[in-house]
Amino acid sequence: MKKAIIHISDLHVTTHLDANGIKKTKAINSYFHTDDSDESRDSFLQSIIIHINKEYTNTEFYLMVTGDISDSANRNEYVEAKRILNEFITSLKIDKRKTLLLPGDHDVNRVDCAKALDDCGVQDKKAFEFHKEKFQKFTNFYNDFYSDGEIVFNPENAICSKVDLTPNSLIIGLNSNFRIGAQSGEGYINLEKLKLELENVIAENSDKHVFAAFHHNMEAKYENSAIGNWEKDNRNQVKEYLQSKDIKVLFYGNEHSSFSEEEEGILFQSAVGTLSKKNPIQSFKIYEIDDSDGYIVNNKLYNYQQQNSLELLSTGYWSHIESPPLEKKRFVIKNPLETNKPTIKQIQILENNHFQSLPIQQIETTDYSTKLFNLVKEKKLFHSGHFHWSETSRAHNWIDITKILNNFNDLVFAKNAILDLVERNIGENFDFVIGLGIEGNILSTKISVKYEKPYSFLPYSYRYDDHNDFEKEICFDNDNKYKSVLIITDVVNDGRTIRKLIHKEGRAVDFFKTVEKIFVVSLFYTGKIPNPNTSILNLTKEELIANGILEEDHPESRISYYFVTAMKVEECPYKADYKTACLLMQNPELGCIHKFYNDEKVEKR
Amino acid sequence: MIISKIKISNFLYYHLHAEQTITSAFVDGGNIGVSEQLINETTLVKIINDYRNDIEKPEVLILNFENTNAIQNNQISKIIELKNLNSNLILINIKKELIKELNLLSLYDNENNVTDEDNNYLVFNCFETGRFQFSHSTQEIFRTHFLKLLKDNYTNPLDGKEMYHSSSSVYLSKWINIKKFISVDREFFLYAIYNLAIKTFQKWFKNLNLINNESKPILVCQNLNSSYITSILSTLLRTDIVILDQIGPINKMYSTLDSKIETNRKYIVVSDLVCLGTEIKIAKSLIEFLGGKYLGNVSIVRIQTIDPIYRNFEDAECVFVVDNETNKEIVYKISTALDI
Repeated sequence: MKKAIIHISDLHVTTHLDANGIKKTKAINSYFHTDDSDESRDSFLQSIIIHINKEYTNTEFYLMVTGDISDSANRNEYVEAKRILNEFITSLKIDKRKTLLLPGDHDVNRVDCAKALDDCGVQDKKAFEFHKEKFQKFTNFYNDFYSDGEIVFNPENAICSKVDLTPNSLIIGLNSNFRIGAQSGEGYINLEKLKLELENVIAENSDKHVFAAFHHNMEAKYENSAIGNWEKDNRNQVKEYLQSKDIKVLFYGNEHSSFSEEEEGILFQSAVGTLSKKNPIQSFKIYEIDDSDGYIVNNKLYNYQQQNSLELLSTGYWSHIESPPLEKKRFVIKNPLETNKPTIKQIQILENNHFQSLPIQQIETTDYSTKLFNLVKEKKLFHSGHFHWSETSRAHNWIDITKILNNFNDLVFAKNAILDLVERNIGENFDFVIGLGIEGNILSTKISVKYEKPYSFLPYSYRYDDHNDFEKEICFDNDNKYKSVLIITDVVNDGRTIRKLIHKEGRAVDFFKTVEKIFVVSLFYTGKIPNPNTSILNLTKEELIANGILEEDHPESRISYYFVTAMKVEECPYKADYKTACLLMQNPELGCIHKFYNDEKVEKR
Repeated sequence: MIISKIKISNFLYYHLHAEQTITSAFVDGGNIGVSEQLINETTLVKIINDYRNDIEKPEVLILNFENTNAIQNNQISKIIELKNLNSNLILINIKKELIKELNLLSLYDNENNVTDEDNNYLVFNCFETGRFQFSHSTQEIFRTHFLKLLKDNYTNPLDGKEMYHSSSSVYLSKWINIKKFISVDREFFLYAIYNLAIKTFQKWFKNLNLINNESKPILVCQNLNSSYITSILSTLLRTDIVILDQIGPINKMYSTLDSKIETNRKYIVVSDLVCLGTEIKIAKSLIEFLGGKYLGNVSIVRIQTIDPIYRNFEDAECVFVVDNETNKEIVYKISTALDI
């Protein structure tokens, strides 16, 4: 039987009554509330249960609820919360002992907290220090839910719950609301208490993986809010301490947004959005556990999809969201499977007849290169025939990349593949970006927005004459400002197009005169070099002379080249005499030659 | 990156939903396009930081909440932080629920606030007394700034020589340099595309699910400039694209290999600038000939050569129109050989 953890958070079960006990006039911003007359709350709950039961058969579930179970820690809200959770675990056959319940800042009763402070009368006491009082209603709910007298909530503890997963793993729940009082506050865990309590847990479970869950987010969804919603120093200390104790996976909620990430392969974090608040989007996650060979947690996100997205929710359905490629789809905790590692210089021979004659080289097989390679195969985009991009650029194969860029999901993938290439190999060591050709321009948009660097785009050399002068301008004077330039394109063969752009009069030659480094990235390398390295697009004058192409090409030494995957295309074997030597050129009525350029314009030139 | 920052005289505007949408779509992986509904703390922090770093401090700071349905919990402190940076803080186009959620009425109760028929706030002053005269219309704010940039930086005079239009038999007196606009004013141009995405969504996508719907219209790009716009629009509307570079010979390939247009799918042609509409008509014919359904066209700029009395532009959306009024400043002229 498979094992899986269901991760839900931020239920915000909300009372439908105001402080006077009168029904609120304002619409309740949660699917879960205390108004019995509204049937939609049950249908929403059922939609989750039905979806999970449908997607996961023969699975033993664990449930992890990372806080904000209620909206205002009101007694009635907890009555309803208990009903919902009981229905949930009963329908999905989850043992209560396999359920981890954690409080969030909304589970602190602010009124009780303020009252405790007021009643106390001690001047230097802080409201958040009244842990028993502020969590009294949550404690009642928690103890009532388990109802066995053995699992009880202790509001003073840093580790407030614990669930055994597989024989070699367990998950601990931490109370991150230490400093939540009568007003809102940030996440905080009492570190001294945590150290004492965790030492005991680890001593009793020294042979197990220990994972941690809590309410407050340690990271935010966006890059420039790195500390999440947490008191800064405490967050760093807690994180450092957990890592020092070999706790490698952290689960949390709070921010109402879902993401997951990996820090240098040593710490995995997974956040889930709100399960039932009506905006922005409802989510839950399921982590399938595979401890048969190492320890792997597969991470799947499910969102509630709306019919009319700019309006508030009406009806919808649950669907699995294919994780963005940069998000961690799985956490490999120990002994990573060999198949998940990049294989250097792997040679693949396609089995498909369509590609039969073509050996394909891949420098580094990453998830991106494998998927891109498979896309070409599945969509049958590698064509055989006679393809001419210019009089000197002719091949017997062509990859129809527009068919990859046409599909939304494939386009997102292709943009992410380029971004991944840049992040892994170049970092931010560039100060200007150029998208080359329509395809390069389309592929560049994510990088052009993500990195705040100047951006321009230029036509391919074989299409240069199809554009007016304004469209061929790079739009920036270099003036020694841009020393390192990143060029993004879809395909590179022998690199002549790039060298022409850099050197040919009328192109961007003035701009590149003072450039010291040129990074070129592409989806595909289609050239003939079997073991391409990053400097293959550079050519010395001597090499050009030796190859007899000094007149039509340019020496260059500044380029570092990176590509996602390699697929070699066969060059046309004819040389400059191709018009007379090639039978197909001699007989255009056969219709075998596919030209990407206009003869008329070439003749005119 | 801040895309929606607009300064008009003493007023500085930020549009929160635009910032949230672009950050979410391009920095964060969980893009839901223009369906983004929640303003995140990070977006507010970004605006605070940008405002702090700006040397020029305007008299009035305006946060535009148009298209915002929710705000992350506990963000009143960020609003107060902005209020501390500029005491003349005004929130525009903000839903009454958000004002309540932020508990702003208990802090600032200004009798000069302006509400619409649903009691949402067109203008909410975060100060007790006084008022400022300014526009709260997102469209008007955008158009005012777009016109200024277009006029000052992106209408290239052709040194007295009329330029022959590449696809219509006319001559142009000026070149509206959209490419330079995209490159040099990239942030604001992204805001223009965001606005185009909102308009396109409201016209053709409103009843469709952005996340998972295979019948969404497909965006058609025609040239280099439009490929940039289409690529961003595709991200914001989460839909497929087609590269129909009709001026070039790539379509020759499809006469023998494959068709780009799928029968019975719906298509929207994306342009940087629509002048006489010749290229749109070519694209429309091509789409319909190959069995697709042409819905209309979207562009950043439309030159309104025909009076709306004669042509209602129901199948067209744009974010800026060069009409008799705006052309007083741009002075764009289309001629034939008979005029020159």
